Amino acid sequence: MKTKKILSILIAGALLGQTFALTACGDDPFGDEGNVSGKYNISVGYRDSDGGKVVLEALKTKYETEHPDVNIRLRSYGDTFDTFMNQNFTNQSNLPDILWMPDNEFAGWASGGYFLDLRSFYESSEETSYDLYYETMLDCASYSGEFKPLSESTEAKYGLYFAPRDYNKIVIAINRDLFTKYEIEIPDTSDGWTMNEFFALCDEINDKITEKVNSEDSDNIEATSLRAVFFQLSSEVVYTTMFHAMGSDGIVDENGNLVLDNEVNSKILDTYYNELTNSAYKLSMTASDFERGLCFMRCIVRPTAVDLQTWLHNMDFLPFPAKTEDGKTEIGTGCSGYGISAVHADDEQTVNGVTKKTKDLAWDFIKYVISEEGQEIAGETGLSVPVLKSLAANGKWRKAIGEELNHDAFMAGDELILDTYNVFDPQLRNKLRPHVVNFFDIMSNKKSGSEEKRADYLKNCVQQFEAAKIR
Amino acid sequence: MENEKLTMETNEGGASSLGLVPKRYTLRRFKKDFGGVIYVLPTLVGILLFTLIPMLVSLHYSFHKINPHDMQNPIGEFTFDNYLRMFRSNSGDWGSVSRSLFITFRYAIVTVAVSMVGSYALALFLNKSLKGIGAFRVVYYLPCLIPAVAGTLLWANITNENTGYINLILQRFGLPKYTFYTEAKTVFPTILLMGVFGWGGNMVMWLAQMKNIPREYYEAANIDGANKLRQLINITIPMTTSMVFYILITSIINALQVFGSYYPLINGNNRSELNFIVIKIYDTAYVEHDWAYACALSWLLFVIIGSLTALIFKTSKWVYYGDEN
Repeated sequence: MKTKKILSILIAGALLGQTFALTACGDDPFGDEGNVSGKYNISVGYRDSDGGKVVLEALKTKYETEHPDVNIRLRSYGDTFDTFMNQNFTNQSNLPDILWMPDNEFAGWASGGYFLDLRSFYESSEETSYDLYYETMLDCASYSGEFKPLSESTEAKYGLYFAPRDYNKIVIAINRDLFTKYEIEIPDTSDGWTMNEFFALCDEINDKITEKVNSEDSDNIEATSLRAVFFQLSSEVVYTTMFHAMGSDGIVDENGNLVLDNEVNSKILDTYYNELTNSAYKLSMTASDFERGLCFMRCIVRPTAVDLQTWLHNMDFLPFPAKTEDGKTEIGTGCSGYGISAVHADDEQTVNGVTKKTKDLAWDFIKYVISEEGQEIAGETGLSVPVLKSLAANGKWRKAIGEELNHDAFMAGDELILDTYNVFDPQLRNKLRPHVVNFFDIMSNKKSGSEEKRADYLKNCVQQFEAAKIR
Repeated sequence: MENEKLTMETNEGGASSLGLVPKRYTLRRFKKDFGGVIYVLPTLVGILLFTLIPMLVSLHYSFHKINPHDMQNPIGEFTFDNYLRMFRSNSGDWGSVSRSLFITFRYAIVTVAVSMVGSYALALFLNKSLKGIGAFRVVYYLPCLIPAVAGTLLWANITNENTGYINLILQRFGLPKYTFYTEAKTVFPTILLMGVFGWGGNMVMWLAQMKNIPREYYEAANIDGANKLRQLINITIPMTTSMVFYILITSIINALQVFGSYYPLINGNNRSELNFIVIKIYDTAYVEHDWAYACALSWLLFVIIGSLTALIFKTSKWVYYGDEN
C-alpha cells in the first residue's frame, strides 16, 4: 500500500513537472540567462531573418574586445518586430535593453513611449554629428517622418527613436547566366531607366521564353518554368517607387483616403496588369524562383543579396527603374537600426564600484555601431550599406559580395522616403498596411488583376482600410 | 470506518440511512482518495493554467480598451465597445462579422447534415457481413488518420488549378479545368467534395452503435414481415439516436470552430468564402493585433456554441438510451 502511494506521488510529480517544463518553453528570451557577473550586461534583440545576427555578432566580438567589462547578450525575437512587441505589452520587463527595428514598424511603439528619444545622445558628441549621416535616414527614425534637432524642436514627434544602421535602397538583381543563354542584352542603366524600359525588357524576355517553349529544343519543357521578374508589388518600397516613377502622387491622399482608383493610379494599375501580370512568362510569384535560377530578375534590398550569392554566383545589380519623365530618379529607401528600450533605461549596474545606467551603456554600444569602425564591420558582412555618407564610395561593403558587381545600384538616384502612411496616427499605421498589401497581392494575380475585377477587390480593401482607421 | 459511522449517526431522520444526504468529507476519506487526487492533479492544473485562467483573462480583456502601443497604460478603461462594435454596421464591423458568421453557419449546417447522412449510409453498407468488408472499413477510415493541415495541403496540391492531378486528368479527357480553391465561387462545392474523405471518423462510431443493436429485433421484424426500409426506420435509426445526438453535438461544435483545415488555403481570391469566424478571430488577434476585439469575438462564438449545445440538449427527448427505469 505504501509503495503504491509513493509510486502515485512520483508519477504525479513527474507529470506535474512536465506540465511546468512545457510552460517554461515560452519563457522570456531576455531574462538574466547569459549575464556575466563582474561585467555590465546589455541585451540586444534582433530579427531572425535578414542576417541581423551575423551583423550583431561581428559587432559584439569587436566591441567586447575593446570593452572587456561589457557583456553583450544577443537574442532573437522571431521574425517580426511588431509581433514581438505585441506579444510583450503585458510583460514589458521582457523587452531587451536594445532592439533592432525597421523603419516601417517602430512608429506606434515609439509614440507610445517604449523607446528613448536618442537626440540628446547624438548631440552630446561631435562623433555622432547629424551631418555624418543621410538626413533622410534620420527622418525615417522619427515617427512624424521628419526629424528635427533639439535646438529646433523638443517635440517628441520629431525625435529619433532608433539609430539608423543602414541605407536600404531597392535594386533589381539580375541572373547574368540567363541573360547570356537567351541572348538578351543587359540594359545600360548608368543614367537610370524608366518603368517603360523595364516593361520592354520584360516583353523581350517573355518573347524569348515563348520562343524556346515552342521550339523543338531538348530544354523546351524546362523553359515553361522560367519567368522574367519577381517584382513583389505588395512590398511597400516597390509600390511606393513604382507609383512615384509613373507619375503618381501616392496611393493615399493628404486626408488619409486610399486613392487607388483615381485617374493616374488606375492607369498605373492597368499598365502593371497589361505589361506584367497578364502574360505567360513575365511575373514570378515566388521569391525563390530567382535563387533557383528560374527567374531573370528580382527586386531586392541589400540583406537578401548575400543570400542570393550562395545560390547563384553569376548575378549583378541594376538600379530600380525609377527615372521619371522629367529625368529625375528617386528610389524607395528605408533603413533599420537600434533603439533603446525605455523600460530598462534607468536601471543601474555596478562593476568594480562604478555605477552606470543601462541607457548609457546601451548608447555606447549603439554609438559604436554607427561609428566608422562599426559601419565597416557591418558592411564587411555584405548585409548592410553604411548609413555614414563617408563610406558610400569606398567602404568595405562594396567588396563584401564581389567587388566587380554593380554596387552603384545601391546608391543610384535620390532617396524616396516611404511616407505613404505618415499622414495617419503612428499607432494606426501597422493596422492599415496589411490591407494594401492584400490588395496588391490580388492585383498580381492574373485572374483578379484585370480592370473589371479590380473594382470589387478595391471596394473591399477600402472598407477594411476605413474600418482599421476607426479602431 | 468509525468516522463514517459517526457521520451517519449525526445525520437526521431516515434520509441519511437511505444515503440521500452526502457524507461529511473526512480526513480519513481524503487520505483514501489521495492517490486518485494526485493522479488527476496534472490534468486539473493543466486545465486551470491553459484553459480557465486564459478564459478569464480573455473575458477581462474583452471588456477593456486595449492599446498595446501605450506603454504606461496598455489596458485602458472598462468598455462595452468591443461587443457593440461587432454589431454596428456604420463605423463598426458588422459587415465582416456577419459575413464570417454566415459562411461558418452555412458550412456547419451543410457539412454536418451531409456528413451525418453520408457517413450513416456508408456505415449501413459496411455493417453487412460480406467478404472483404473489413478492407473497405479500413480504406474509408484511413483519411481520418492524416492530420488536418497535412490533409489540407495535400488536397491543395491535388486540386491546384494548373499543376494538380485532378485538372491534369480533366484536361487529358478534354474537359475544362476546375478552379477548386482558387476562385471564390468554387470554394464551397470543393469543401463539400473534400468533406467526403472525412466521413470515416463518424462511420466508425455509427458502426459501433449498429453492432450493439440486438439481432433479435431484426429477427422479430422479419417474422412480422417488415421490409429493410421499415427495419431501418423503426429499429436501426431509433436504436442509434444516442450516437446521432453525440455526433450532432460534436460535429456542430467542430464545424463552428473550423480553422486549421482551411487557414493554409486562404488567399486574396477566396478569402470571402474561407474567412470563417475562428479564422477572423485569429487574424484579428495575430495579424491586426487587436487583442480586445479578438477576445470579444471569441466570447461571442463561445455564447453561440454554448446556446446551440444547450438547445440541442433541451430538445433531446427523441434520444433513446436503452431501457431506462
